Amino acid sequence: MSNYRYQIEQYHSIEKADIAINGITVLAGVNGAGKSTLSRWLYYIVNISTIYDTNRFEEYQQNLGNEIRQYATAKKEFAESNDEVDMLSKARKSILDINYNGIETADEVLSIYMAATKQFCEEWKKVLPTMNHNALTRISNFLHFEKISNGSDDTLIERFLEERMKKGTSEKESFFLAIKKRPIEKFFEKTRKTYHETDRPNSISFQEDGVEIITDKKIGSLLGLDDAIYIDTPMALSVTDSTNQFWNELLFMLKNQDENIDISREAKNMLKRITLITGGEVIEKKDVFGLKELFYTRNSDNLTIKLENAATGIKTFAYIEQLLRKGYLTNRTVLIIDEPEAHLHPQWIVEFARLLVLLNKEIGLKIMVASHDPDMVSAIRYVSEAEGTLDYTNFYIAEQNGNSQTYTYKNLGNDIEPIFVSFNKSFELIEKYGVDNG
Amino acid sequence: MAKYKIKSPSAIQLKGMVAADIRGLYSLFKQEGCIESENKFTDDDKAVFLDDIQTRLAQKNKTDKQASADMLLCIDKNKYLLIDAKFNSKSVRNIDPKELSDKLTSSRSLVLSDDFYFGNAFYVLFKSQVINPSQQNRLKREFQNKPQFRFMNALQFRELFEK
Repeated sequence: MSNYRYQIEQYHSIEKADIAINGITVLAGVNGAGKSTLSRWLYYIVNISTIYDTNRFEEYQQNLGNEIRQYATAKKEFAESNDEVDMLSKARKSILDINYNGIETADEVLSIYMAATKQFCEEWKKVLPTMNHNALTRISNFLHFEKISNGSDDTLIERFLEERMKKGTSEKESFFLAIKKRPIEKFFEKTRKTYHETDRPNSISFQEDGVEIITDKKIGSLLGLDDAIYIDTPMALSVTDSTNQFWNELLFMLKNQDENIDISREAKNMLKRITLITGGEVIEKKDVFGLKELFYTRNSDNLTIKLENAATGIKTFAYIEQLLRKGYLTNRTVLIIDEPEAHLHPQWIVEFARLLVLLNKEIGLKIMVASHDPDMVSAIRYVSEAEGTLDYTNFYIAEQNGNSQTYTYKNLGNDIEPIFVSFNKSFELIEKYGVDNG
Repeated sequence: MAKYKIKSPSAIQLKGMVAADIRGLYSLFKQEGCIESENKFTDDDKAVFLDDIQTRLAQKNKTDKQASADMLLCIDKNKYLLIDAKFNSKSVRNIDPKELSDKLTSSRSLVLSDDFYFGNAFYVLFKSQVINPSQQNRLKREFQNKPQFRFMNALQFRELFEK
């Protein structure tokens, strides 16, 4: 298994964080120390770099698809029937429907684009003599083509066709170039556009077995990781659609339509463990529109309720259960959870901590959690020790730099006492506010 | 919080107390098993040794000896604190909330002076290697976070007082 090292410097409240991800990583620190920021950027790095090619392909599809959409709009001006316009819309749809599967799929997209362009030009040519100058100028402007001079122009369509063919080829070439060079700007463009990050860390670094993935120019590819899954709150399971991109991406995974998922024996054992803890399991049912809905069934009395109505603690276990069932939790995944203890009763906090340790041990899943809970921290510490995975378990604490609002993440190894020093501050406050000291 | 000032306990009246019960904190800590490197008090800091008082009261009343805190320490503003020394404990697991609550009650009932007030703090002291932050957390939670009970080592306890 590969080892990962993740660093961020001078970003929001993080002064410096240098974090090893090779098993279970636990981050502790006061509110506002940047734990969630670390989680989010780890998610971006892993996800954007692993689906980088697909994203570029989608851009390429979109660019050519948009051209065809413009033809369709322009064609409405002179088409004899709607069917002719529909042909172009269908061509666009078939471009967008192509799934990225190696660079040869780029040719498929290009050939559909070329055919649609040729067809459009032929039909345009037929009606050209009947078009007056103003109508022609309008269409040409709309298609971002050259300014039409007065008088008839026989080579107009030929020139247009030639230009669009060139454009198609150059789009393909720039797609090839983008997946070859993997410019870092595309990474930050995605964090800005999809995840609405308005700024970027001054320094960010991610190393796979000592090899830097993020350089000034390039976002490299990860050989040992396929996925990052980020769960900021189990309440994400209570919604069906949201404006939160993380929730949408999580829900997409949980309701994955793929029926034939083969999961490992270890994963099946994990599912059994979860059923023992929660006393029930998550099942999928299709609603009247054929969309999947998640339900929780209690084994003792077969009570079946919608998962969104189930106890929030059940949801915490449910997302792990469903991700396992869908085959997302593997040794090529990093699972990032913010405050996994939220909504759990202490005994279930310990059960959840044990589950995380076992997921790491049995499946090889890499885990990063941010926690505020004494039970979670100590359970991860001692269960890892009992399971023999303590060497791959690292604890970090965010230490405040003087009086500034910035924090440096200190590697504690396996020593959780400094984390407890920060937890125990609450007792001092109860002593201060809770007794009459005169 | 402001630091406490240690005052001489000669003004406080306790049931069955004699002058010999007022002893130096350094010797008392040493007697209870506090190691030298953690014993930062001097014998000029005086406290009342409650154990001897309980023994005397039991003999006098021909009853079983009552358990109480080990020491009573007078501080400024006419207040007193209680200290139970568990320097010989190897673990915090055998600390019983009920036992300590009883010690608190029985110790307070020894105090006769009505112009001395309990400072709302019962300090249970351990060797520093026993009472690390996670064990402190464990004890606090076992005591339902009651603010009266405070668990620490002798060095941390010394920090509560003015030098």
